[in-house]
Amino acid sequence: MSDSFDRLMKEAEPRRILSDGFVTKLQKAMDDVGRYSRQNPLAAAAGWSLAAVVGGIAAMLIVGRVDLIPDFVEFLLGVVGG
Amino acid sequence: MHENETELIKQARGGDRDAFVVLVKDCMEQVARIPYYILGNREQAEEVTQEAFLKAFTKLSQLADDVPFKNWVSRIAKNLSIDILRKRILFQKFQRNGLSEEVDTDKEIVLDVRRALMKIPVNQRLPLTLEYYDGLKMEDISQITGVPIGTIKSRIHAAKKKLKELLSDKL
Repeated sequence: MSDSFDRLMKEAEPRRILSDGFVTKLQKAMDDVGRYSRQNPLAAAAGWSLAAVVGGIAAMLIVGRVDLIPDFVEFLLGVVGG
Repeated sequence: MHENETELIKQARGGDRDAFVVLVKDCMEQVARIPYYILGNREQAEEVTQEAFLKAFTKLSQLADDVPFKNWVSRIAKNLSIDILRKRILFQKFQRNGLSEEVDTDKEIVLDVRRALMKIPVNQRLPLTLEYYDGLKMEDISQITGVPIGTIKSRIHAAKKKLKELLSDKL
């Protein structure tokens, strides 16, 4: 039974999955990613800033210092407002 | 592993796209099998594979020195595939029509096996197919799935048992 099971499994093994143009498509997508980063440094910086703010709040929640969040927000508003 | 993998990774981290493409070509078919095993659909597997390599390209600095590139990207592909499975509730959909749409065969027995495979839970199907079709070692399967080796062994055992039940009239 095990032999016939193994034979059945082997027979159903998938062949090639990717299409011929896969590498070309990937290279184009890599170029697009690179171009976007170069053309939108401001968006990239904004993204990292937002991530830092969310991370900061999450860290306070994790350590149980929810009381610090208003001060943190006030600090951020001070920075943004100059 | 590619004999110059460490050097290629170093070059790719420095922005050398050609070096990254060499790494991709070395393992892309193997990586593509992960989403295929999970989602059961070639087109989706190709999309996920592209996304996984793009993600790897932008986060190459996060690759640990002791983890082979292939296993790392495979794990990214696995996580992306599971996300798709969860979000779109594809499991039920592909149970019905995923593998039956395969175009690489018209053999009924092959389709029967693939349909049976898709009836097995994904956390059992993936280790089973990685062992059977890719001949991966337990350690590699563990790195890709993020599951301890002992658990993988028991899941493969359970998967075989279920598959044999499902295919009992063919054996």
